[in-house]
Amino acid sequence: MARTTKKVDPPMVKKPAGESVAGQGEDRQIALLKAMIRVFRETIPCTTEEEVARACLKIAEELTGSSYGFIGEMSQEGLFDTTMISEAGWGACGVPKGEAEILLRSMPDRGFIRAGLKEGRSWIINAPDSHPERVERPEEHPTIGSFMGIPMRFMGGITGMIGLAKREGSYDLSDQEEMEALSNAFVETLNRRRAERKVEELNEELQRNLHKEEAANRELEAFSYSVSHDLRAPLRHITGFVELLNKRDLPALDEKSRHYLQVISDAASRMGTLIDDLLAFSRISRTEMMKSEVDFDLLVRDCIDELMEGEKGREVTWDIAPLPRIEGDPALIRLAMLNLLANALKFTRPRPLARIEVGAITDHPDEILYYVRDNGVGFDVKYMDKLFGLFQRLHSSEEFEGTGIGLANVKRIIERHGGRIWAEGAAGEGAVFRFSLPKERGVDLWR
Amino acid sequence: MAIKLKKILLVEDNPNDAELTMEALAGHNLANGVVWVKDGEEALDYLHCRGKYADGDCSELSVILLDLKLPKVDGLEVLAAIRANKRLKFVPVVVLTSSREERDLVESYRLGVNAYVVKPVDFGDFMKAVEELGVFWALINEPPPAIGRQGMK
Repeated sequence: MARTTKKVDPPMVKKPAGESVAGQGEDRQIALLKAMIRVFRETIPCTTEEEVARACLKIAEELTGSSYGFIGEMSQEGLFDTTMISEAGWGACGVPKGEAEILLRSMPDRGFIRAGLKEGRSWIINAPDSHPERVERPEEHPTIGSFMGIPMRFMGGITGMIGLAKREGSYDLSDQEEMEALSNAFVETLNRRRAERKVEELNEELQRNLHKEEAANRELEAFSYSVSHDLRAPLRHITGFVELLNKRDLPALDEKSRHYLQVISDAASRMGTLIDDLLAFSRISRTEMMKSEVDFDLLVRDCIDELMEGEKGREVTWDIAPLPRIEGDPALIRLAMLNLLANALKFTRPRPLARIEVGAITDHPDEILYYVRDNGVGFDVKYMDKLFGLFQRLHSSEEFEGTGIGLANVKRIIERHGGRIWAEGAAGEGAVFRFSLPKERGVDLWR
Repeated sequence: MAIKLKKILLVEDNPNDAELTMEALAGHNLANGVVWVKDGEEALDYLHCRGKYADGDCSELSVILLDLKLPKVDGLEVLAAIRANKRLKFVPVVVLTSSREERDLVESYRLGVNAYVVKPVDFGDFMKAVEELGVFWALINEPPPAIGRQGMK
């Protein structure tokens, strides 16, 4: 007797076709357990649901001594979707495959299969030709001596069925019970494969979207750079020649003319600021990020010192909570904080006593939530979407100076670190700007 | 002893920038010594004393103010040619350009530029920068001694 030891699978008691394993319940229990182990093990290398179904079917046929079988799943419209016919089944089937598949799809609506599915339980028909519900089968249909239908259940509903048939012989109650147990294993593996595929698809889509967004950003940055670059020369000429004109001190230049010249100069100067801001914005996205540990406490105090130089004589209460260190590009983070704090200072200017808080929330395991709160003029929540837009402003230049690029820069910086930023506030009631930065290994999320 | 002021070669394709530059240099009476060429090819012609400058006065230069974005032969090529030439390789060259691009900066220094100045957008700053450049290189700095008058190899 040859001994084959190469197979890793637990050897199964193979029933000769037509005969169920006779005798002791224990043997059958062991056979069932081995069949379940096989289901989980043999479906691991399967890459598609069809392969999973095919593997399950083979195991079911072997366990029950069936000649052939099929697995079908109900789609949302109640039709058979993934239908798998065993190799043996196709072998015995004389009906051309195309036609057979069409017939298969209408199976749930006909005959004893429909009856069985509607009742939602498994059934055995050991003399199908004399069944009251029987339906004409084409002549070339594989011979069916006995038939067993097992519904597949998931989440309280019937998702499909397994059909097994023997050319000769019959099924018994134990076959039915075993198959009902095995059918749960089938459902599990099919669903797992399905979930894995869905996750793969979602990941691919995510990657695609990320690439698209990156590409769009790079284009915008390149455009910003070249446009602002090319605009500088004519701007220099405008301001330059107006200056030269002024210097000439001509008698023809009356009060009005000098005023016009001043307007031209100021406009050109403002254009220069806009261009510089645009260049800064594009630069923020193009420079490579330096990984380092950011000492937030030190950084914020540093920014405050710098900003307060330009705010002499103002009453400002700074409430700075201890700020945790985090991985980041110090130069970029500094720029972001400068922007946020400068904004807080700017929009609290109308207040007799400005109050600005900076703090962090550390409960989340993966990220730290920093915030900057001020008691300034706030903003109208209905313009929330515009807040971080490029060159979007919610106040006129008479009320508050600025080009509207600050928050767009901050958003870009935070997002490059893999974080999120948003704001809360109300008109006349101050504002809170919150942003998250990923902790440990946040560098994996940098863009 | 009359001090012969050496010339300043201005290589600039934009006439407006050229005019502004000369205005800035005029403040220290340096404008008369400026030779203005409009592209890289003309610059090389002047330096080789050939073409339209064949019978001109190709006297010693105190400094070359060089724009980078030039038609025909661009600034970096001109710079390379200058540094490759025995007679000219020690002439001070100051790149005066709108570009702040990293690669222009790196390449210019690699080729041996003496200074790299980005044209300020602000007119006042521009004038001041050019004036200071002119005063330093043409008046304060000691130019390299003459190295013979043979033509370029």
